[in-house]
Amino acid sequence: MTATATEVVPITTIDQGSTDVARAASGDRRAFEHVYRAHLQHVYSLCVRMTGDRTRAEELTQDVFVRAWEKLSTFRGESAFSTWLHRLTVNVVLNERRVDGRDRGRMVSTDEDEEHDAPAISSAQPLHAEKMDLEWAIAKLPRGARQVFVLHDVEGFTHEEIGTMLGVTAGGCKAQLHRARLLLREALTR
Amino acid sequence: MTYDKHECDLMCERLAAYLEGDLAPEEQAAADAHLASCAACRAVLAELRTIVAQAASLPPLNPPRDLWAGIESRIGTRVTPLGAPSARRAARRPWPLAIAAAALIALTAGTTYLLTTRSGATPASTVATVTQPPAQTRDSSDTATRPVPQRVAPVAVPPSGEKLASNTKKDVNAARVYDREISLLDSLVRTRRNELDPKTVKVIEKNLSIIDSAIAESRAALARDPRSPLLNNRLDNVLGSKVELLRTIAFLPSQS
Repeated sequence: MTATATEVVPITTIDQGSTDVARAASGDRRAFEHVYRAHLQHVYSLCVRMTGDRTRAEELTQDVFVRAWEKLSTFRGESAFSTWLHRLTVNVVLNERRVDGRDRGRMVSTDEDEEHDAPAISSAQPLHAEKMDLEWAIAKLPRGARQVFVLHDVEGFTHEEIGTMLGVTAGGCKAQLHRARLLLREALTR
Repeated sequence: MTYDKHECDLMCERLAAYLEGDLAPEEQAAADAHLASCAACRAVLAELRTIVAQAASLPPLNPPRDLWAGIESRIGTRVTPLGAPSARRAARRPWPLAIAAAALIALTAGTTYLLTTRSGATPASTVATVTQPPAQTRDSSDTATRPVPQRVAPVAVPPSGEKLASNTKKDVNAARVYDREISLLDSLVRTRRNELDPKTVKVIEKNLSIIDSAIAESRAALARDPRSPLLNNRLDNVLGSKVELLRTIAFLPSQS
């Protein structure tokens, strides 16, 4: 997100955020609660969009902050804390996919590529790309396409970064992205 | 406008690379030329660009409930009774314990002062009082959920019925000591309010309100009859009740 002249973040806010992170890293739970409240929306939003499941996203959001608490001592400040937490969130969501047997049934039902071939392009109906509709349509995407779309078009990761995270090539990532966009277009023009 | 199905199919194949800017220059030129003449492909491209733009500006979402309680319960032991901190908590957040210790030391000292001042030179009886050791000095391995009182030297108290038969000046001093002790404990309790179960806080506030009303009534009555032993005794009792209640609150375990 690009800050405009009217969206200047007060320096005191930045300082307070850094202070809270530093204090939380030394074990201050009250400071960590401040960190949680400052970053909750971003973490939760990413979890919702990556999973397409708000209830599961609540659980994962909690997992992310618990993991952040455990790993805070490894945060060296080489990147912004928000970037560090962002990466951690993606890792937690993707790792959950690998280790959580509870999700297997849902994974199978939503990740069958053959059931979600890229739709044929037509322009019979106008696009209804209201943001609420788009949220809904993202949640309905097959998991692989949804994760690539969210990571690339919503969160701004590069194809190379996403390829590394998901264990696919950059070319495969691009193909998934295009498929996701076409599926969204189809969903929004129905 | 021209429609060439072969050209449109080719455009569909190249659409992903076109959006990503991955086409070779000659492919890019051919795609631009087709788009310039094909409204249908232009519309598809525009819709995909709309989706990309909308995705980049999606607003943040809020969870339907606060998730902090669940996180806090997983990141470590919750706030423990003030008298029995965990080693980690004691090391990281010493200030509430220091306040607790200071307040309780002040309480004991104040009570001793109050009682000995009121007892005069010849106490009729003695009792042992209890006090809480400063929290920082306790063994961090102590897993007790309630503080363990320790006996200290007995202090003198006046015989029943006589303790407030002293002069008004001493009663005023005693009230000041109580007020100071109540103020200290009040500060401590305020710092703990957010750590307690809201239902407990509600009961506490109700009880404190009743005691404060009784204190106000006693003081109003004493203003009309300052030398009344009965009224002084009544004020003494309700002030003592408030100190005891605040002291109890200071040791309440946090909500789990």
